[in-house]
Amino acid sequence: MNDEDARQRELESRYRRLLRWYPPRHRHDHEEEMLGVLLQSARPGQARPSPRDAADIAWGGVLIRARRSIGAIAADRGWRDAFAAIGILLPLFMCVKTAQLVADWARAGHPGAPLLPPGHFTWSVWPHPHYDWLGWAAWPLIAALGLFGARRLAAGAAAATIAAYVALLAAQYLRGDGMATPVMAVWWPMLGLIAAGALAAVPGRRGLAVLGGRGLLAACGATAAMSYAVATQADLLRTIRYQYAVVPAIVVAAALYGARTPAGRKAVMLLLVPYGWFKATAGVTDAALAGHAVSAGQLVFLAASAVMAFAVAVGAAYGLERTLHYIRIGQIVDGAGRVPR
Amino acid sequence: MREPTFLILTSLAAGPRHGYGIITDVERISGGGLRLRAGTLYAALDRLTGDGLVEPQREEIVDGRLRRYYAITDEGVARLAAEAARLRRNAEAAEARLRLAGGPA
Repeated sequence: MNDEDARQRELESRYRRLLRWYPPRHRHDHEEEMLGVLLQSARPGQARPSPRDAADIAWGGVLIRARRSIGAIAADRGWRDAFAAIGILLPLFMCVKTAQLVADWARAGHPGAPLLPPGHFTWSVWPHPHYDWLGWAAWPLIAALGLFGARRLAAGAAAATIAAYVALLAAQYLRGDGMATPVMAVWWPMLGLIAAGALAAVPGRRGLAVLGGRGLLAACGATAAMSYAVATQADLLRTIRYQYAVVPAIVVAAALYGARTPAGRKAVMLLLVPYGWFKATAGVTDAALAGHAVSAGQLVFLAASAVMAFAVAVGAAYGLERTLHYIRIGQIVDGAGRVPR
Repeated sequence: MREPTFLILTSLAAGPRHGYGIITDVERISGGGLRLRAGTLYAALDRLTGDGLVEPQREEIVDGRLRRYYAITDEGVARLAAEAARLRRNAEAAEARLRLAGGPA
């Protein structure tokens, strides 16, 4: 074997390693073909891929993987149904916050009154929050639009509401009088964006059909219970009761109810993983930052980790469904001879 | 339609070609302006195949290497023709304006 053969072999094995960026199915169909093209394009005597070639091969793999994943999710009825249900559930959940603000308004005589006496940790964005209700006023309307089938209009309104909320938050941040907590700066806008995306993704009244009459009734009941809990909270003790009793109870009940169907499991993953992320990070960061403004770097980190949590939720739900699918296939194979019901 | 996609379809409009054949042909068509890399080419072929504009045709083994030929579909021909007409209209409009301005066209 001469030097040229050795170099060629080394180049081939390096290209082969780079092709691991591609999904298995694509490699099965195209790996030998792509190797042929890569080796034909190589310079004489070349022993390793150029950095630009390596980046191009990797990026091509990322594009193909993304295309396959998005295609699989878009074609899956379970995902469409999950988004349809979320498009109704999330705007309803956002109404809880509206209820709280209306209750505070009624108590104090003006909108956006601080929930707690000065010096306590506050849910509000501003130390003296007089505008914060603006970001929440639209959610009952958005929920109603979604329920009555005007989902595109609802999606537009949700996106506009979140944009206005983020703009208010940014203005306050730039003024430097910020007490924005991560929950206000990242969590609510993220929930709003998921709601807007879900509303935009599945037009029509599919969500009602997916939830069913009892599901819708349960969701409305849960919203009412949470609204009542926050509207009647006047001291820290009740806030704690709401945070540690009412919400977890409703979340667990909803998760158990949703876990019965494929679409329900996907919806639960989409909502629960970000919720878990929020619980894990918000408690720590809120305590650490109480009374201090969140820095721009911290905000970027929180927003990035929120998006990651959402991506992980989609991936986990996808993986779970595939595992369940293979288990079902295994059961059918094990019971060969018996007709699967 | 992005330029690499347009040139890949243009290359296949003359007849089926394999991957390396597309790369050299696109380089020729673009006057040496565009040399496709393999990752870009196969990502584009994956998308074009998925959209039904291109389809894999026959395979052959040359020097122990697999070659797969790709062909443009009827839908691909229609899309390429529409895109070519759009580009021609834009180019003609640009040239007409340049003439009005006394430019080089």
